Amino acid sequence: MNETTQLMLESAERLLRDACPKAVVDQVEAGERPDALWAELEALGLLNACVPEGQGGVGLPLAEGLTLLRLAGRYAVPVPFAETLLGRALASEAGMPEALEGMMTIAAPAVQGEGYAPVPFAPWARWVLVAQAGPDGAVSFQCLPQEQLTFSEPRKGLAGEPEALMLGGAGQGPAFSSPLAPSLAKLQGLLALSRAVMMAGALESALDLSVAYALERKQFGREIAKFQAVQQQLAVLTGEVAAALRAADAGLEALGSPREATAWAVAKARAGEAAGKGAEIAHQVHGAMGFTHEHQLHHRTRRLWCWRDQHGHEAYWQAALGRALCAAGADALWPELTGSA
Amino acid sequence: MATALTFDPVTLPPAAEALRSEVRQFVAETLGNEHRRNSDFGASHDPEFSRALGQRGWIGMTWPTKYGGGGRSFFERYVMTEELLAAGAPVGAHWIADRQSGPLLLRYGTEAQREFFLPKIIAGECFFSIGMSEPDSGSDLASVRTTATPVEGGWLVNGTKLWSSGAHRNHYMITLVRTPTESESRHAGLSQLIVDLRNSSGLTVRPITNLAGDAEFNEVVFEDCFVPADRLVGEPGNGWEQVTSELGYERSGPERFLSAFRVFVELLREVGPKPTDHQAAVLGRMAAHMMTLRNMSISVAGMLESNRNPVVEAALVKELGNNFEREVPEIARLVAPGGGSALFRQTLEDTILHAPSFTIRGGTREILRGMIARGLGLR
Repeated sequence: MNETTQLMLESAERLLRDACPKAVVDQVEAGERPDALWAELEALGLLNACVPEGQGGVGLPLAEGLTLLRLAGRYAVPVPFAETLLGRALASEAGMPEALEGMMTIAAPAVQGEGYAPVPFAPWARWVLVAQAGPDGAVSFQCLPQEQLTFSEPRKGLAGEPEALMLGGAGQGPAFSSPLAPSLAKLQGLLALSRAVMMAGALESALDLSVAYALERKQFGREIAKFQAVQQQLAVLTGEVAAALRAADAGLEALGSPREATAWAVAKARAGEAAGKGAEIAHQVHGAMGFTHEHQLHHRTRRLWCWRDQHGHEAYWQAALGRALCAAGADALWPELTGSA
Repeated sequence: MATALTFDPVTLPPAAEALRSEVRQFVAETLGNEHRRNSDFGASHDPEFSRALGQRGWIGMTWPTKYGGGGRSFFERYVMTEELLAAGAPVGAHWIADRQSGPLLLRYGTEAQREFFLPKIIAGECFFSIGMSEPDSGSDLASVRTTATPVEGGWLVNGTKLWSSGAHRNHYMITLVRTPTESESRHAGLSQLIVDLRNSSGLTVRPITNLAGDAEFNEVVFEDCFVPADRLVGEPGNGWEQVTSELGYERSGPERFLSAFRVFVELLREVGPKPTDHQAAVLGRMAAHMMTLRNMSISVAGMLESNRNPVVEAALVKELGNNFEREVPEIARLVAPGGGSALFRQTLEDTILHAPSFTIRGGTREILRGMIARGLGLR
């Protein structure tokens, strides 16, 4: 990780600790747009992390900039952080400087099923980056003002954040392509990776909350952390969190390598599995307290349940990996797993 | 806490990747393409194969050259071991000596012990067993009761060691014993002795057949067994620190997630090139787990290479890796089409029979989870 990224992560963490408390997440989930939080994220330049310096950005490579998403997961940041970060990096090819300001979301063809995936934060976005599949798996983009498109009535997903289906309006105006995501598969892989990194961050936070709670909550005259049954569960949770973090980081490290598609499928599948197991244990440790709306654990766990399904659930990416292994055959399994074919 | 979760990225150096193709070629030439069992089961004791590895310089690879070691990196050792295990190579004879007895002697042994034992181990001609557990001391290792009483020129050992794999055919066993101490602490007064398994009197080795029918581990009974003074490892009374360090080498290697690998290979052969969606997802899930575990294990090799002591990280790799290994045969039996070929059945049944040991040896699942919990500050 380069020094600029390190500094940016540190200042982002300081900012989010203060600017993204539980109250802000609650407000968003109650339907209020977090303009103050957004302004602070903009002021720090976080959303322009992967925009070239010549266009007023920080100029980080994608693999570095996307590490910010771990913090977005850790603090349950209730804005389209991934979509704006990635979308602006793609849109910087468009020659539309005005698109690099304001909330951006991405309308992408669904990984599973027909048509477009629900568009996160569609009602609040100023810009929608619409991805259109072309011939031979290529993808082109249009960067359109939100009001130019028509959307379904917004609904709240598991994360409690607004989303809507794109009904029409795309296809007008000039399209552009980006070397960052020349193919639909690469775009979908990057979006899946973004969710893996966010899940890893949310899992870290769920573990921290669970450990702190176990050390504070007393039953039978002692902290529940002193019971082996609880210790064993938290150890299992730690394993899942560590695996999700490593898989997500490996996905980032592979960006640009011939192994990237495999690494992203592994990241989404492994982090998605950890999300389900991890959320279950975190809730069990928190008991009834963690089931209340007042406790902040659900800000993490509901996002884990949401993100694991977005841009392809575990079984989708597992099957993609599995089919590739079957095609290569049993004697190629080990070389395939180790990238040494 | 965050530190225990940090498995820094490691890219294997070119020297390690170059070694990979060398090992692969060696395995193909030496063992051919016939079916092989998983590396660590009963059939894996093969002194001839160990000697051949020794001649290649693939035992004691990371040890100093002055003892005949390779002076190579942990990454090269990592690649060499994972290639052998994935291929189902019979590495059992020299395994313990290479993984932990040699490193223990390098860290705590006398110069004379290093000069005597290390070159023999490196040549693939000297095999070690572990003498830690006893009939009443399994996970609670500090409760061992085997005693060593000082006598003229050495020690008289009395007691019983249990689960000592290979003691019926190996040369030496590093044995954890109680030596006299003033202290009341359970961890005080423990020492390690190198016992000659082939040339000691007062020593009886009785193989114990496991549920798979292999006579692999043993009961070793000491009755006034004399061990010369120069066979004490390290300081008398320092045994607890020493075994703890020894166990550290034991917990994060590729053997912690490759024990059932041949089932994965044969399952893929059974399923063939056109899997159902369910079969593809199940195989892909196993691959996602394996690639992530391997990535974590390589990261721990990086920590060892930079002289860190990754106790909790190693425990996490073993915890996740062992649970995965136990799952592999359970998954395979349900997704294989039909009953499967004879080859598949044999590999699967072999692994089902050995699977209970995966989450016991080298520290039970429960003990490892306790170590992780300690790392979290819960105890």
